[in-house]
Amino acid sequence: MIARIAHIARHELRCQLRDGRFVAAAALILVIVLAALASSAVSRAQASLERSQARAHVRELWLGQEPTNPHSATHYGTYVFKPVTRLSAFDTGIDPYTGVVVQLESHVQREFAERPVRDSASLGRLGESGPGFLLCALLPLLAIFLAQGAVAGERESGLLRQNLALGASPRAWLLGKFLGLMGALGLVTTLAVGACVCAAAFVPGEETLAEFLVRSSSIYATILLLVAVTAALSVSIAARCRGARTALAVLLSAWGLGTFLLPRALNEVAEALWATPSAQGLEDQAHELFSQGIDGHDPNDERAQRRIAELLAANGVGSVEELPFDIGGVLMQEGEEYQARAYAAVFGNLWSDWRAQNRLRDLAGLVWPFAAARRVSMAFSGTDLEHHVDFARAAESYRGVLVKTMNMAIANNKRPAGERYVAGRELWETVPDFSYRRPGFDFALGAASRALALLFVWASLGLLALLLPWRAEVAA
Amino acid sequence: MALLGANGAGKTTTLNLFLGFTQPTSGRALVGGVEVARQPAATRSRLAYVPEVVALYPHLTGLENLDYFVRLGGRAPAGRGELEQALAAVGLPAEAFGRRARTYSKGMRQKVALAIALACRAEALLLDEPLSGLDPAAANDFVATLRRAASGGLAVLMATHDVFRAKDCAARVGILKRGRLIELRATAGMSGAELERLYLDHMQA
Repeated sequence: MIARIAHIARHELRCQLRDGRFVAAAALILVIVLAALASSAVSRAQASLERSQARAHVRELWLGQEPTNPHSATHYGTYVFKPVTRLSAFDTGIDPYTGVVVQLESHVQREFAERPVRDSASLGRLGESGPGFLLCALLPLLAIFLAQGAVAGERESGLLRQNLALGASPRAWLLGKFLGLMGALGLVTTLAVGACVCAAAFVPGEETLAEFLVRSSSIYATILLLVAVTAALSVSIAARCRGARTALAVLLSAWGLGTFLLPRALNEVAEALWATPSAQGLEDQAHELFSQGIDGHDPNDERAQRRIAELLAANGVGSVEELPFDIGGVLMQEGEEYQARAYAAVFGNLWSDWRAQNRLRDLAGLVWPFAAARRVSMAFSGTDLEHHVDFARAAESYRGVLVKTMNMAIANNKRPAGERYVAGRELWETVPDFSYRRPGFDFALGAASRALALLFVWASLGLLALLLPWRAEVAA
Repeated sequence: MALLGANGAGKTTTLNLFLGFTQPTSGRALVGGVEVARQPAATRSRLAYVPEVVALYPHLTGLENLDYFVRLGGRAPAGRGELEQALAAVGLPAEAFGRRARTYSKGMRQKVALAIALACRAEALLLDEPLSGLDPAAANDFVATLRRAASGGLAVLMATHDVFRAKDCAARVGILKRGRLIELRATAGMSGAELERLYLDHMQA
């Protein structure tokens, strides 16, 4: 049985490699994917270069500020840049939608800027021209057509009948066909992903080589799994459908539905159900919350007055001049912390809405495994929502440190009335340069866990479909 | 032996019963005394089958097709030489051995199928209208090859419409009508015209 399966598989692989149609289709996919990769790699490399220059520049600007009041320095602020990873050339994910640079200043947590896809907080049609998207869409399509020729084609030409007459069992024949097709498809997948990974390796990225290799080989395994699942389903359905056209229609419908129609339709629904605000809308929400906190810039504010009274009482003095610290700095910092909490709530809502939208979009993965594979590919490429949130949190926490350092410098350097505290480079230098520790592979696995689980369910279905007995209708 | 009968008389169904592609509603099909329905794998290994239209893998050469099918049948050919010999024995021109099978004529495909049967060392050969669509020269050629094979001890069961060639190459003919074997005759001492008469009488009865 096993020898027979291996024999049929080797034979199928040989037939495919000799078939001009397979060679042409494989070459076409390679060309399309590499063209997409070239375009995204160039823009990533450009972005990486710009960002490393800009990073050095903004640090210089921060350190080179003229001596001034530290709070003014926080209004001047600085910028942090989302790191460019090599794999973002493979799967741009949501970066074009969420942006890659954020301005940090006191009182404001900003939305990311530099988004090629502007005017939308939507994470809808993700990286639809990137190599990751193309591979997940096109390789299963190739699997469907190859299975159609190898399985339905052989049944219609009478080759299946001749195979069975020589003693091959329907199951051995089907398994052999599947393995042979996987040989051919695996070759295309390996060439395409391999070429993408090799090309992406030349993009100046910030991840370590080990990280790059672990993540890219996981992407390779994911796409291979997707191809295996779709090939298993394709040969099983082609074998069981009496009409060759029926099988093709069923498979192409599932492919089209799960790859294009449903993701788009669900995207519309998701955006209607969880309408996410624009950057201005987020700002408005935050200001709504601020009105309940202290305004550090306005000591006549009622809440500020209450706080001043508390501080005076706590220090046992009668006027702010007698306090051992500068009241302005303290109020500024307390107002800042209140605002930061407001922003945390506003952005927390935004992110949880985005997550809810994603869960709805993921339903497309129930019809065809494309959506699940995409989710995994983005997570492993480090360009999904969870990686974005992780970076946004790091940026926000750095903003907190920066602003607090400045405000506390004011508080701790009390000047006589009418005199303004002015600090210089020594103070600016106490704020370390922003450094971001990218989440490890375990984080990516966690972000992809639901989609991975769904992919494994698909894989079990595919395996079951291959192994379940079927009647080869060859008596006609 | 040749099976004669009109379209739908049950010739192909009879072959399918022996191949195990159709399950008998009653009765048994035996190959070498073994019941097909009980041990289809064992009986298939003793049979070889030549369909009306032999399909070959178009991108493989005749030799490669033969190699694939022989190994699928569970025999490892002793080498290229044995396969070439089998193809030569059925009269396939040597220049065609290495050509891709998509360029083969119907007659050449039939020969490859015969070569598969020979190389698999089948004990019985089932042929389903192997002569339809062959030009007279090719049909003649095929019948001659078939006879050579049969003289080597291969049992042959051929479904056909061609009364004269049935007479020509079969020791016995059976006539099927609406699923029943209504006539079984030795062809020795019978002329083609007589056989045709017999056949037509049955059809008109």
